[in-house]
Amino acid sequence: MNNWKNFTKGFIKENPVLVMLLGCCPTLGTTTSAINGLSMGLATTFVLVCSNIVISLIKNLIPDKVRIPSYIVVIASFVTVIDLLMQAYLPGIYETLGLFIPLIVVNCIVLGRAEAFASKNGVWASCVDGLGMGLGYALALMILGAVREVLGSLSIFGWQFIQADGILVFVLAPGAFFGLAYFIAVVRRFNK
Amino acid sequence: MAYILIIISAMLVNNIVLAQFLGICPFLGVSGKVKTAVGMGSAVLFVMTLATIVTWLVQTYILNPLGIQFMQTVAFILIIAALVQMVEIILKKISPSLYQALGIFLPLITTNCAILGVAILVGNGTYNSMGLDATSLLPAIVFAIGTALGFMLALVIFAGIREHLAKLPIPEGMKGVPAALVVAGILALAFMGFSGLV
Amino acid sequence: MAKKQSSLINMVLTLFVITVVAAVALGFVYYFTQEPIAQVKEKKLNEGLMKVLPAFDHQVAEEVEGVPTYKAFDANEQLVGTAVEVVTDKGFGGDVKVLVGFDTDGKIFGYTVLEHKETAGLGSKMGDWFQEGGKGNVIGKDLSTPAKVKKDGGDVDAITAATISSRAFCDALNKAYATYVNTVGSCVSTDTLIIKSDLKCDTLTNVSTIRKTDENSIEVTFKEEGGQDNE
Repeated sequence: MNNWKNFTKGFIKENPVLVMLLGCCPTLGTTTSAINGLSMGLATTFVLVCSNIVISLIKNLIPDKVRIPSYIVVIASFVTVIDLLMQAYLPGIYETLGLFIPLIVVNCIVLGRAEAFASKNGVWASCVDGLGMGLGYALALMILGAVREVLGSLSIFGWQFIQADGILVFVLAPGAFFGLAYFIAVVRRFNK
Repeated sequence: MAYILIIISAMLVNNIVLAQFLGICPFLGVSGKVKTAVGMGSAVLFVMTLATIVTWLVQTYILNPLGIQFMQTVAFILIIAALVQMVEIILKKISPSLYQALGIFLPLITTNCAILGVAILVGNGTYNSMGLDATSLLPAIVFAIGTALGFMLALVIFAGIREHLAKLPIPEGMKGVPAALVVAGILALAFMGFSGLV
Repeated sequence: MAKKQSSLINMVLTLFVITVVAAVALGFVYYFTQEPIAQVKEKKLNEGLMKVLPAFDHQVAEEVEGVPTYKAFDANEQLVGTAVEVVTDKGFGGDVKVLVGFDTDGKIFGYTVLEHKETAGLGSKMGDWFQEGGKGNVIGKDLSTPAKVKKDGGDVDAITAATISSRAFCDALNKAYATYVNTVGSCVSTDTLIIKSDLKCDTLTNVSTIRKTDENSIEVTFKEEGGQDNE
């Protein structure tokens, strides 16, 4: 697969959350605003790219039976790295995303790509795959976050365009489910 | 008394699936039938309680005293993965029939964010312990049990609804996951009614 | 290159090596991020204190019966205010953490809500509702009579449709005041005043007796209202 196709497949055709339905938990939990969704997506992308690269590098050194636990340690380490970095340099976002940062380690996307791609491909291809999937994920999260933010808090990227409360249910739990449901349906229609 | 409140809070007010968005993947993927839902819920109950105890021990006696809390993510996920493997092996030997019933769900549980989520909440002491000491073991265990029961509750209700949903005419694009998510949203809305209960 | 053999030794060794490498690498990252993280916490604390206290030069943190308090001093070591970080579990959705700042008269100088799980659009309004200019303004309030919402016979205007959150807020205020009195003492007189060394009150009159209770505090009893500090 050439590099460009490898990169772009994560955006629509094989979008991790909208098509492959992986990584749903953070999708629902962190998309209360466009910035939150985007930040979560980018943090996940960081872990995805780093772990894909490392796993692709050491794939031949790992006995088959312990590969999953080994991948998990690699992924968990990068998750801890981004956790510490965010705590130190992006405290506002760190507090908003809260529990979902360490939960990146069980985000099916990361382990899924490690198992399905990085363990079988070269370093560069794995890096591109991670980048494409991660950014596709981040894009989906950002859009969902934007929709919920516009409808729920009448603001976009933090800019309040009407000084009032919106349809609050959209920034609360039910809104997450409804938003994702229709988003997936729309993308399906588009993919046909 | 506070223990009962912990259970009510974890099960209804802060339901792990409908309010905290953890455990969604098995929630959507497994809940086609009530029977499977009960099976999955029971597996989660067992693993979650066990995992909480072990991770609590590690946090209290290894991570905290040595000041290496930053190893929490790595340590916890390894513990959970190992635990699930052991449970699978033991179950296979002790009770093959139970293993058959739960078997397929067990590997899925490792990546269940609910398990890791609860472990972290307990490890950091940031769960609603209703005035009890969040760093002691018993409230933590009760919290884990309450959370798992909440997971099973959400799953079972959901499966029941989906069993009926499967018989209804749904527009092509909405079939399957989107419709399921809308149902989940309505359930979440309903559970919001429990706010302020405790 | 063929994949390694899945023998027990190999498996255990590989996992062990990976984990050790990970631990060391993480140790490094942790070490390097400790300083920035500590700074972030310090900055957050100072920002909070600046919101709730009069201008100060430096602050001294002290835990009074497990409750964090912060005494703020100006450049001449005069106490200008005291802040208390209090948690109430009476919130609608769980704990509410409030930082309350008291001036030297024991009146509320400012507050900021640190953490809460109240309903968006209702209880969550407590961040602004009780501030100066808000409907339930408590700034300048004297808490020697405990704060209560109007429904409970007090004079605090509760947030519309969010009585429980408002009650929790009042509870936080009262708890903060109780700790404040324990920490600093109070200039507002009742029958007996305990005045601790940092506090400066205005004129105390009608003093009946004065006695030193311990190294840092004196106890003043009155014939009736009024008081003076002579530290």
